This record gives sequence, C-alpha cells and structure tokens, in this order.
Amino acid sequence: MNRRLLLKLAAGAWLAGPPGSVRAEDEPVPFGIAPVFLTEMTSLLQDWRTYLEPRLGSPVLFVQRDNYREVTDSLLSGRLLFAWICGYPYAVNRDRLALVAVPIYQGAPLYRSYLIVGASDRSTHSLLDLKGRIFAYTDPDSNSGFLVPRVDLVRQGIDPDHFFRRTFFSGGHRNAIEAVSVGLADGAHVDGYVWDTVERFSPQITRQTRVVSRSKSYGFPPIVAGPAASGDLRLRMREVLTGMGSDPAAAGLLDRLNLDGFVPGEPDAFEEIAVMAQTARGVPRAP
Amino acid sequence: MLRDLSLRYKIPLRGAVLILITSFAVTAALIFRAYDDLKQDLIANAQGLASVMAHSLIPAMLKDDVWGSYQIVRAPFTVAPAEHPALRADAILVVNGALEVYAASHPQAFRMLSPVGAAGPDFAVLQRYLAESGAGALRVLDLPRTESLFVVTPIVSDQVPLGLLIMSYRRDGFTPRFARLVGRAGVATLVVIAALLPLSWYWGARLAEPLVKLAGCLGRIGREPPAQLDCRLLESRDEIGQLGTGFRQMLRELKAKQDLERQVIAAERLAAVGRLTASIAHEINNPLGGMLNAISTQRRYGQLDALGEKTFSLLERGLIQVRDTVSALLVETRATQRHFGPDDAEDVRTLVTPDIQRQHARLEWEAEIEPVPLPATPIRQVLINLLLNAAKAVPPEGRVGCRIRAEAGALDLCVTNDGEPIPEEHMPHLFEPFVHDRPDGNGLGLWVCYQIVSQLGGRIGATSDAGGTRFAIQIPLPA
Repeated sequence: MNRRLLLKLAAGAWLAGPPGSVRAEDEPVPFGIAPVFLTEMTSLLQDWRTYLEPRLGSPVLFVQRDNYREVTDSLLSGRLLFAWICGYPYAVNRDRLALVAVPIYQGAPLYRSYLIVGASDRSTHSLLDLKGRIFAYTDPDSNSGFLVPRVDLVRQGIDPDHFFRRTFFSGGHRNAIEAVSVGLADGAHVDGYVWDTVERFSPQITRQTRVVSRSKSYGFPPIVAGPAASGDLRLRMREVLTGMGSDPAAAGLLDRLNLDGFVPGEPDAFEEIAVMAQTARGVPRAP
Repeated sequence: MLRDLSLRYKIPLRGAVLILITSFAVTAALIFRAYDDLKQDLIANAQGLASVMAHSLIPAMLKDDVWGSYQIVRAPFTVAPAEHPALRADAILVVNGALEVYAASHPQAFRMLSPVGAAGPDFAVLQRYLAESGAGALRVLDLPRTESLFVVTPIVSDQVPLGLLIMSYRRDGFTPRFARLVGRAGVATLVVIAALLPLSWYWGARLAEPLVKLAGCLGRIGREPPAQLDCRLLESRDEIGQLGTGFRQMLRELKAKQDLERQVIAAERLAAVGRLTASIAHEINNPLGGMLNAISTQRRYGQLDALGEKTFSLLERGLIQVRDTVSALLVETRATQRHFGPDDAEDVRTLVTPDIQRQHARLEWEAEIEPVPLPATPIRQVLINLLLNAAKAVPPEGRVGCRIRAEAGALDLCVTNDGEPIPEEHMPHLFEPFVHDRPDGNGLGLWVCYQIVSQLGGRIGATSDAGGTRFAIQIPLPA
C-alpha cells in the first residue's frame, strides 16, 4: 500500500467514522471490474451491489476502468480491495493476489478463447489465414484476447508483431466482437464466455461474426483480492460469492451474468496461462 | 414560318413564352436559393460537429486508439436520426497524412489502411483533390463530378497534423427536402401560369384583332370599291385606334378621289364629244346651208318638171332633217335672251302636265323663285326635256317631282320620278348623244341638257335606284 493511499484512506476513515482501524466498516469496499466481460451493464452491477452489500455487511463500490492494467495496478497498490480480472494478470501476479472465487460457466470454472471473423468471410479457417489482415486485440493484459493468439503464433514460429498488417486494442471483448461485426477488424480472439453471452442477449451483433475456432479451456477470469483486503473480508467475500449458486435470490443475477455460480477455485488452474505468459515474455507486447 | 404566323397567334404566343420564361426564372431562382439554404444549414451543422469531433479525436489518435476513434466517428450514427435526415452525414472517416483510412463510421465501405479513394468514385475525386490541395483549414468541398459534399477538417495536435476528418453528405440526401421545395415552387408556377396564360391569350387576341381586321381590309383595297369596304374597327385613341381612324380617312379620300376621277373622265369625254359634235355640225351646216339655198333658188326660179319638183322636194326635206338633227346636236345658248322667271316655270308646267296626266301619274310641283339672270329658253328646254323623260319613265299612278329653287347664288333644278331605275351599265353614258333605252326617243334629250348646263357653267348629275331616278342641276347665277 502506498503512502498516498494510506493518507487518503486515513482521511476517509477519519471523515467516515471513529479512528482505530485502517478503514471503517461502513466505508465502501472498492471492487474493480476489468472491462473484460461486462461493459455497459451498469444496472446489473447496481443489482449485484444491492445483493452483495447486506450479505457482506459492508457497502460495495464497483469501480470500472478502461483497461486491465489499471485495474491490476489499483489492486496491487491497494486502491482496490477486490477485482474481477483476467486470468493472465492473475497468473502473472499470483504471488501478490489471492484467489477469492472463480465463476462457474457451463458447469466448470473454465472458458475458451474464440477466433472470430466477419460473417461474410468464408475463407478463414485458422489464425494463419489472417496474415496481412487487420486484427483486433482486446487488451494487452487479456488472456483470451491477446495472449492466446500471440502465443499461438509464437509457438508456430511466427512473429506476431509482423504477422498482421495492423492490429489495435479494442479495450474489451464486446468491443472486439463489434469491431469484427462492423468490419473494422478482419478478425479477433475473444473470450468465449463473452461471445456466448452477447449471442444470448444481443444476437444481432454476433450474427455478423463467425466463430472460426475455439481454443482449449483456460481458468475462468477469477475474482481476486489485493494485498489491502483483510483476510476476514476475503473470507466473507468468498462465502457470499460461492453462496450465490445455491441462493434463489441470486438466480436472476446469475442468469443475467450468464453464470452458474462461483467456486473457491484453484490457483493451479491458471498454470497454463502462466506458462503462456512465459512463452510470450520474449515477444514485444505492444502492437 | 413563325414570321408568317398571324398576330392573332403570335402575340398570345409571345406572351405565353414571356410568362413561361418568367415563371421558370423565378422558380429556378427559388430552387437555387433553397439549395443554397440547405447547403448553408448543412455546413453550419457539419462545421460544429466536425470541430468537436476533430478535437475529441486528438487524444485517441495520439494513443493510436483505433477503437476509440471508431467510437467517436460512429457516435452520430448510433443516436436516433436527426430531425432533418438530409443534414445527417452519409459517412464520417478519419484519414492519415497519406490519405489512408484510419477509422471510419462504416468500416465495411472504408477498409482500414486502404486509400480513401478506394471507397468509390466520389472519394477518388476527393483523394485527388486533397492530394493536390494539401491540408488546410476546415473546408466544405462541393467537388464537380461527385454525388457528395465533403466537410474536411484537419486534426491537429500542437501544430502537428495527425490526419483529416472527412464527413461526406450525399447530395441526394437533400432530395426529399429539396423535392418538397421544388414541388412547392412548381405548383406555384403552374398556378401562376394557369392564371396568366388565358389572360395573356385574351389580351393578345384583343390586341391582335383590330390589326388582323385592318390587314384584311387593306388586303381588299384595289379588289373591291372603297365604298364597299366596311371595316368596323375598334374606336379608341391608342395607336390602333389612330390606325383605324387613319384607315377610314384614307378610305374616304380614296373614294372621293375615285369619284372625282370618274367625274373628270366623264366630263372630259362629254366635252370631247361636244367639241367633235360641234365641229362636225359646223362642217355639215356650211355646205348644208348652200345646198338648201340652191334648192330653194332652183324651186323658185328654175323650171322644174313634175319629177324634178318631186326630187328637189325630197332632197329639201332630207336636208332639212339633217339640219334639224345637226342643230339639235349643236346646242348654243345666247346670253342676249331674256331671264328665266316664274312665268317660264309655269309655262313648263302647263306644257308637260298633259303628258304626265296621260300616264295617270301625279306631278308634284315646287317652284318658288324670283326671276334669275339666266337665259330662259335653254332652261325651259332643260326642264321640258327632263320632265318629258320623267313622264315617259313614270309608272301609272306614279309620281313625277319638279323642284325649282334659287339659293346660295345658284339655280337648283331637281326632277324626279319613281319609275324603274336606269340600268347600272347605262349610267356612265347617260349624257352622251344618241344613247337611249326607249325606242321613241332620238337619244339627244339628255345630251342637250348636259350641253346647255355645261355652257351655263353648271353641273348636272343623275342618281337612280329602286326609290326612283333623280336628276339634279345646279347652275351658278352670274355675279
């Protein structure tokens, strides 16, 4: 925790209630949401907060950021206590982040990365067919939207920075799907869970795209606790989240999240991503 | 062809053409104005949007944020259509310095990194223009041979040009609004034309009508006698009215001139005949006198047997008949005779009354004169000749009129009858000798009258129609 945040939190605590602890009980728990999955779902987050707050016994403040890096940095620096982040930054920072819960999607805490192209593109059968084309990455800290395609290329001995004619970051999976659907990009690798969810709720967008291939399964983007979150709060958070799957009150919420529930999760499930991060390390990150 | 067309059509046609030209000119001006207004609206609209958008594109482009740039240029298309769809851009795109697409509202049409000119012929024109003109300030480009208007805005960060924001507006996007304006102008034009054309046609026809009539009348001059040219022209004081008045005046003068010519010709002919007759009569009279004297001497002093006596007598009677005829031809009035007065008139009346009564006709006599200084004998002869002619022409129960009057320094004589009119073809030769339409006359009566009146310096004229025949004589009284 850095000095400035300490001062800030101290000031906040002083304003919020009696001194004695680093943060007061009624001070909101800052919960970061990477733009991985849920963009423009303000009402869902509001309902989720309403669900969480009484069960957690503490107000929750969902914090959305433009990119993964900001969320991860805020978490590591203590500005955020919890965050829903991608498996890639978690795998890289496993030593400093604690796994709180992993969503269950289609019965398992796993997801895949989809290679998608425009619906009118019938000639692309693999990533290699997109050579010299325009490719949309989601975020440099995304597993499915960045790490997966790059490692795929690197493992085939291809330099990902010179394979495409042009790449750009869309800042989110949903944006990447849209970029492909409107023709801004020729292809993209996106979170399969997000694609499935968009297909469920906004099929007119996914209809403009075609899934070329699905990767193998990876650990689902987890909810992690930063170093500033107390062990007690972490446990409470894990209890509330993992209890959602069996709580009828959370059924609607989970349905909108297109998830089955949460499990405590195993850090080892993200080993594959850590290996891929190692593989990609020698490769420049920016497009 | 058109030049030969009647004014009746030419004037209304010209009016119609003028109305059409005016209407179309006004409509065209309105349409042009409407197009200009529309363009100004669009420009005002586009300029605001363009400058805001160019400004917000700067950070995205500096970060090379394609997605962010796309979101910005896409934003106007994600909201509900504007009130005036015509004012909505057809496409918005950002191009880099090499005029390659960086981001576009419609990525399918504008592929990233492809030259902007690849998006269609309009953009090819735009690319050529931009390549030549280079970067500048915000511009509205209405390029020839394109279907679109372009609003081009440079995206500049700290004086470093990052690219250009191009907004394209299809001209046919104006069409519905423009068509409404054109339609309205067209309807107004049609209403004006519908109202003005018949009016123009009517006025034109009215203007042309008198001219057409006048032209028709003029065409008849020469072919028809002026008296029969009955031209009813509009009475007015404008130029056409003046033309009509002038035309009528000309007709009158033409008629007077023709009458005069006819009179002059007739008078000259009669004078020539008179001179010829007189000289022949003199030529005959001289030997005739000798011959009669010789016969007289022979009969008085000569010894004639019965045959000689009979022969000379026959010769003498024949020669006397020649002398009478010649002397009848040789009309001479002598100034020494006594003056014509009421008694002479009364004598004439007495002399002719039995002839008229024989026809069971009525004589209407009117003679109110004092003695006038004119020789009585020839005037009596003139009156008797005319009245006896009238008595022969008058039908039973008819009427013969005689009026003798002296006024305005002249003696007026007028003899009328209500008999059959004199045939038209006889009228010009009425006063020539040996002209008669009755078997019992010698054809010299009117000739004698004419000679006497002429010698007295007067005029004699005749008119004859269904109402009767009228001889009028005017003889000026010596001063």
